[in-house]
Amino acid sequence: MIRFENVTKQYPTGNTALEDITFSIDRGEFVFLVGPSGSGKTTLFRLLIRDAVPSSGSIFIGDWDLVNLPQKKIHVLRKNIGMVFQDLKLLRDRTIYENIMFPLEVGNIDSQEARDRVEEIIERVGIADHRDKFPVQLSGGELQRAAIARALAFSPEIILADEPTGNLDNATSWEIIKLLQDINASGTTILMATHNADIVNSLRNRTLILEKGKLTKDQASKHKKEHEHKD
Amino acid sequence: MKVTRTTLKHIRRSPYQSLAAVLIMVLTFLAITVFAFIVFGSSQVLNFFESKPQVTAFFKDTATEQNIDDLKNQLNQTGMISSMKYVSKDQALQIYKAQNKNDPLLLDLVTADILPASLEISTVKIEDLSTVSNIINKSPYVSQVVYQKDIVSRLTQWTNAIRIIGIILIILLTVVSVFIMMTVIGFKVSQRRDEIEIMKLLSATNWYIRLPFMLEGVFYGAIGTLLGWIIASGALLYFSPDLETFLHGIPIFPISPVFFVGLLFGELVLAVLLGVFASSLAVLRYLK
Repeated sequence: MIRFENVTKQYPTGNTALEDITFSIDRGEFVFLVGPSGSGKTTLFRLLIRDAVPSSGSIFIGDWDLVNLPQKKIHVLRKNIGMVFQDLKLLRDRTIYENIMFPLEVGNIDSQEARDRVEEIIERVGIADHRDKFPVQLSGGELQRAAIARALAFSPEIILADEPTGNLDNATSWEIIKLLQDINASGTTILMATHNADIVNSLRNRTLILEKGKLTKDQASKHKKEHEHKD
Repeated sequence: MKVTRTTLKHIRRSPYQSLAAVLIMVLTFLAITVFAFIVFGSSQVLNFFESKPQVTAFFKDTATEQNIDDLKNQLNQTGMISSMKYVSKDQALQIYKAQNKNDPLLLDLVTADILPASLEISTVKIEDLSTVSNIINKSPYVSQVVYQKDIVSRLTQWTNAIRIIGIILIILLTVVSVFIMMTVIGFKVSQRRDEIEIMKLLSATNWYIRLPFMLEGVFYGAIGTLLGWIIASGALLYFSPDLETFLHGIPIFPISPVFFVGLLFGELVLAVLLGVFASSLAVLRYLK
């Protein structure tokens, strides 16, 4: 589903954000991306949504060759990837309902279909009661749910979540993880960047560890290991 | 429909900037409309004088019909005359009355006796005018000779000067209005920089982002044109009786409605182009 082949990203300032990264993620996996601040997690996400291009190497999402993707096709790629941003990027002057509707509006989806879709998502992520509120009126957990709801708008095959539990208390963090697990259970591939060692250690999903732009460890999930051990 | 709603929202959210953009467009198109009226009017005045006889010879009161016939024969014999028309004192009075029909005071003061008889002459070739003028000037019965050529050439000079000044003024105003509109729309785009970034990250095409701003430019242009045209046309219609008196005898009024509608249509096309151009430039920076 996602394939990185010897990807290096160097910024014009000379700072190397990622160096010779190679990994692949299969369809339906739930993978953690772990590393300290500045290790290159956000850059990796930016490369995946073609907000940046690598200095060398290749990136594939399904059949999409992201390095050679024409500019005019980028918006089509982004419809296939749901992104939960670290700073949420919810529009302050729009209600939660309008924020979730926004990508569908941008994507020129038929109004009725879009409304039905938003209703379904808003129920699924559990923020139906807050539909008419503005982001400023919501708690951190509710905002995170709204951001996840927006990422689900196009029913993407992949969700990239950049520190979705970063500013949340432990209980709320687990609620968000539970929500992401539910989404993953329906077949959506999830790559989630996190600092939260408690979550990573508890779930023991596959974990990619980045340090100073290098992939230092690709730790298989506990379930997969057990499965391999039984075999 | 969605794009129109977004455009109207942009306009509502910063009404003073929108007002500034509309006002500069009103000013520009008011100037263009007024200039178009002046060019139209001066062309009509020019046509009027160009269609008049090239030379008019006014006779002294002492000139008899025989004297006038002699001069006519003399001129005909040169073979240079294309047309010649004698206007008697009575006919001159009729013309005067027609020209001043709205001013009874002027009509009361003038009788046929004080108006001179005249001969309106046109030559086949313009270069024959000097020969014909010499013959007329030599006649002892001619009191004054008026050459339309002088009037026409002076009017042409004035018309050209008005055109040049008008074109320079309009170019200046157009450039200023494009810059002001670029600044206004650019400011609005900059206010929505975050929204635009989010839009792009959420799969919006550049056209989706650009279109409401372009429509905003078109809106300012169209409203500005309409108001500028209404003000200028209203003023022209309001002052047309005074202008008619001022330009007595020169048939400019009534101006055809086709001219007004054609002018509005042309200005709207120009306004739309200006609006699209200015807003495209304003958005371009932020989409790169």
